[in-house]
Amino acid sequence: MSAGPGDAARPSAAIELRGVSKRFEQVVALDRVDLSVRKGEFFSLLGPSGCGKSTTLNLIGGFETATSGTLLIDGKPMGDTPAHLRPVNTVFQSYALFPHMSVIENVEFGLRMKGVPAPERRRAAAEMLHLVSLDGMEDRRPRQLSGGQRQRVALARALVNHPAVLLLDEPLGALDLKLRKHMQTELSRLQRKVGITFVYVTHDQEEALAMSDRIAVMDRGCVLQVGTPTEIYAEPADPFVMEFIGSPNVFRGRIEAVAGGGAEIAVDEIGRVRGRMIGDIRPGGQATVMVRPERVRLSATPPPASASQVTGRVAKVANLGFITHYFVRLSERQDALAYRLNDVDGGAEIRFDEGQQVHVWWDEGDARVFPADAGRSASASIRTRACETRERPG
Amino acid sequence: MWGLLPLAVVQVALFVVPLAIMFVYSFWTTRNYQIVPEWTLANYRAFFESWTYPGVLLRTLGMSVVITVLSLLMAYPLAYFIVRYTRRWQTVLLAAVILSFWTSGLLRAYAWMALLGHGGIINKGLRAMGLIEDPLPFLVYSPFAVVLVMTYFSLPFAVISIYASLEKMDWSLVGAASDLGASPWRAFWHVTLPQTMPGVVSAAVLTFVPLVGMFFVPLLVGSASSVVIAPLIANQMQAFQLGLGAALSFIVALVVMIALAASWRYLDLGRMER
Ligand SMILES: Nc1ncnc2c1ncn2[C@@H]1O[C@H](COP(=O)(O)OP(=O)(O)O)[C@@H](O)[C@H]1O
Ligand SMILES: [Mg+2]
Repeated sequence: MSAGPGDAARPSAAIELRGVSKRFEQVVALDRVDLSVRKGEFFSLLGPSGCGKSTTLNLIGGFETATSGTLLIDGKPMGDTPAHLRPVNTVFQSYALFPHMSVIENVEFGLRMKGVPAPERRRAAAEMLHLVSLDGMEDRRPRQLSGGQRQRVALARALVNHPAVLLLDEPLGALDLKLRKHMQTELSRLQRKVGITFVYVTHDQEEALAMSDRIAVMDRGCVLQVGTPTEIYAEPADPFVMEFIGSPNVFRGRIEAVAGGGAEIAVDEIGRVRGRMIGDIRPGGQATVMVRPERVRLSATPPPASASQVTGRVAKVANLGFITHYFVRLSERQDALAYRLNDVDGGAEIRFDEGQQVHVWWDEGDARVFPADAGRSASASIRTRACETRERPG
Repeated sequence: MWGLLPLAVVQVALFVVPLAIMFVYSFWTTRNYQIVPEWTLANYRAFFESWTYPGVLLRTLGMSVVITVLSLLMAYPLAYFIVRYTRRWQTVLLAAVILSFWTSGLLRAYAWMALLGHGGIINKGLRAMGLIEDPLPFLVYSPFAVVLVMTYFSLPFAVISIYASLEKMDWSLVGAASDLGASPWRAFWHVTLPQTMPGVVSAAVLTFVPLVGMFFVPLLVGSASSVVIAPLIANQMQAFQLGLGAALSFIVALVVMIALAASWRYLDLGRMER
């Protein structure tokens, strides 16, 4: 690991995309993407289905050719270098294990292609199988393995080649929840142990937050924000990023007042709410206020005057065991969602029953105000704002 | 399991019973153009007595192998092309391949005669261009002509069978191979070919088995040096040498069954591999 997160040294980038675009006939799958993945880091591409994650990976792997832009691996421009000559390996979502080969033959395939002598490559493959806890499975066929075992064979088959970068396309997608959680830990452990750069594609925000050193959040072929999990969660630079990670309360309204980094927004039928300004906010314009449910407080008595507050009636209380979800009806059209953790301190807090009138409030610093384009429908404007210049199909 | 019962009945009626009758006849005596139930080994002795019959059988098998290999070598690239590089034309091309099944084989054999014959299009054309004086000797009434026409007859079977396995092929495996450093040729050799081997083997069987019994094409376009076993058996039968005919038939059937048995394991394994 030559450069940890936070090291700004450019030449050490394992992968760099400069203004990379990819078009499939009418569809713009990637729109001038800039990315820099540092050596040795666990880097995730996170975004909804169809946002261009796999396309990015396929470009790096050499399975697709960029329409424009430059791709560098280990500082070297890849140009038209075919897949089999690139210093990267891939763990495919379907694993793509060779059915006619045994587990060990699968794992040693890459070394065999490189011309490593049989005894040597067999030893390396066996070692790698040991690393992924598949000792004794050498002579099985892929079809004789469970999903989790196949996944690990795919991992071993790629890692045994010591690629400059390992590409993983939703590798845990086919596993059940429990195994997925287990494999998340396993993958993180393995990545630290081998020190190979991972580029990990997922649409699961929890997975990305749990495993990554850094995350790139993508939407509709654009990279909206790159940052550590903490930055992405706590400091979303874009409303889409905030909405995609977690399930924030969203209020849309008119900007009434702006002062000291904060803004006050008038929301129809609900009242005035406040939050911290992100971007260009001017009184009179439209804005979107977002606040995460764990930052929303509920109280029977009015909160301090400085807080942003509205009132409503508790519509539903859902106790999920360790956490309780409160749905508070603020207007005919809008509920507020608040989380309360049922931990040891939880008993000290006041509990509410369905039908009860409550004050819903938060500290100004806990909510974020994003400018919204008044012309279009709010939700469409949120998604296209960061990608203004791209051409949209249709 | 029991659903296969009707199939088993048909198999017994159409295959096992005639074969059993043939088997019994081959050990009976032919007297006055009649087969009589007197046990004898004379028919088999007659087969091995001279080089004639084994020679013809070996030549038949040899030609069948050559034609099978040629068919596979031509069918594989063709099927590969249809699967990988055609979209809208795929059905049309396949239909064209299948269509040839529906035309009478005899008709198509005569069509070849019109092409290859001494007064055929090729010879006439070459003569008109002044390239030759006399008809090319090997073009017709030669082993070359038999191999050419029989390869043409066998090709559709081979294409369909190989197409079926290429069509089922998981192409992401080829992607995985190139990801692991395999050039396109090596990816084909190590992944595509092994994955489609069941199709290749069934193509070989579908081509080889009927070839052993090839009949009218060698009679039409062949020569004395391309005599095959089937017409020989027919001759025996027509000459009322039922015992010898039966022995010859049984030996041919035995060879075919050995070939089937050899490929059976592979076909079965191939199916389990998926
Ligand atoms: N081979 C292709 N042909 C046409 N469109 C494609 C192709 N591959 C991807 N796309 C389109 O590009 C966009 C991005 O796809 P993809 O990268 O697979 O998304 P993700 O992996 O994030 O779900 C989608 O709109 C998808 O339909
Ligand atoms: Mg994808």
